[in-house]
Amino acid sequence: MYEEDRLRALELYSRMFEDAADESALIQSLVSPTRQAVVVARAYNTNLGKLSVTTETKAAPEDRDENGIPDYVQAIEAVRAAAFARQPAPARETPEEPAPAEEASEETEEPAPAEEASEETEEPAPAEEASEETEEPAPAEEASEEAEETAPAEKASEETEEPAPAEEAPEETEEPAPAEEAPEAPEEAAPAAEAPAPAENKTQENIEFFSMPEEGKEEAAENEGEESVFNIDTDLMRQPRRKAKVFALIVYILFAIPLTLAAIVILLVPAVLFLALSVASIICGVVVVSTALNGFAVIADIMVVLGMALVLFALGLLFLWTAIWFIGGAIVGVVHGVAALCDKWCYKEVLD
Amino acid sequence: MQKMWRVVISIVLIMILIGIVGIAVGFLTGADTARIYQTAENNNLVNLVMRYYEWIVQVFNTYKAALLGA
Repeated sequence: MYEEDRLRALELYSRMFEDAADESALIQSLVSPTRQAVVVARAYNTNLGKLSVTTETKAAPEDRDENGIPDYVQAIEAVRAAAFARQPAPARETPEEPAPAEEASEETEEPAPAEEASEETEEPAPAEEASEETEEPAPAEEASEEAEETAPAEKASEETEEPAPAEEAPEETEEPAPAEEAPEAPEEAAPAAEAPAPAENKTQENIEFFSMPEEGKEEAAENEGEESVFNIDTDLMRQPRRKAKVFALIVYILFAIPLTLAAIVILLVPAVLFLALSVASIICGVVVVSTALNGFAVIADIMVVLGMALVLFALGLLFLWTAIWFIGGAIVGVVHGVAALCDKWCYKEVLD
Repeated sequence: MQKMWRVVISIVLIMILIGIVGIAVGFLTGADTARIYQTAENNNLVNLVMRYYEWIVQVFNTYKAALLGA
């Protein structure tokens, strides 16, 4: 996300908090910073194809929409409309204040974001979103989504007439003719009242988050780590593919094959020489041992000859291992080195 | 490879040490070099060792000629 867009999104959210009469209700309606990050990230439209936080600035604003309003701004406006639709408090407490009516009129000015918000909420959400949504009272969520479709003037008037709780007010606004269905509203809002503790905890967490300084927010966002959408790098999900540099590969093969064969021949000379020495030493040791056991009569002479045979065996073992090292270590190492050099010089990795 | 080098060198050193101890014990207990050589020559051991030595020298000369000829 570009730095300018990020700052603009933060400015929109801060303006939303400035306009809100009840910040705690607004925070509760926003659910969580992660949810808002998901909303903005989904709506963010760039040609880069990835959602990583960058400090790059836009060279030109050509990646905006045709109507001039970026998608993420529309999404934030939709969130704002949905959040203010849930706030009945200012209208109830001070009916003479025009603030809710103004907010309602603002919502009527922008019907498109509200529709987008309802479409976004209908999309199959990720696992994190789903878990967060299960924590909040479901009737209130549904009510707020449906409340966006009704006229804001009706909302304001109904909210001022009925001093209902925060969860019930949007529920009543979803039906323009509530005479018969009004008694059902408290029953539908009952599950929300039964589980207030998780919602309060979530609200408290959100209040703490939004009341943090800017650096604290960044640290908290980093602590969320992989849960944050901004840390998802789509490049990591791509499979790298090796692509050969044809000309370099041909030139490398032309030079590498003769040089490798020459190196192998040169390394084979000491290998065979050490192999011959080891065979000779071991055969001499065997002959010395057999002679010591058959031809010598004095024990002291046998001890000396057996000691010499043991030294010959030791030298044979050393020569044999040296020959094995030349064949299995040096020659194979040269071949592997040539192949690794070819891999490094003649191939490059490209993302699919 | 490094570990195998350590193992092989350890075994070789131990075998050489034991061989030197055996030779030392033999000479300390009355072994005689002339008698050992005489017995080995009687059993064609010296001829055999000399033949292996000549074979090794022949192999070395062959490779030397091949490398210098190339």
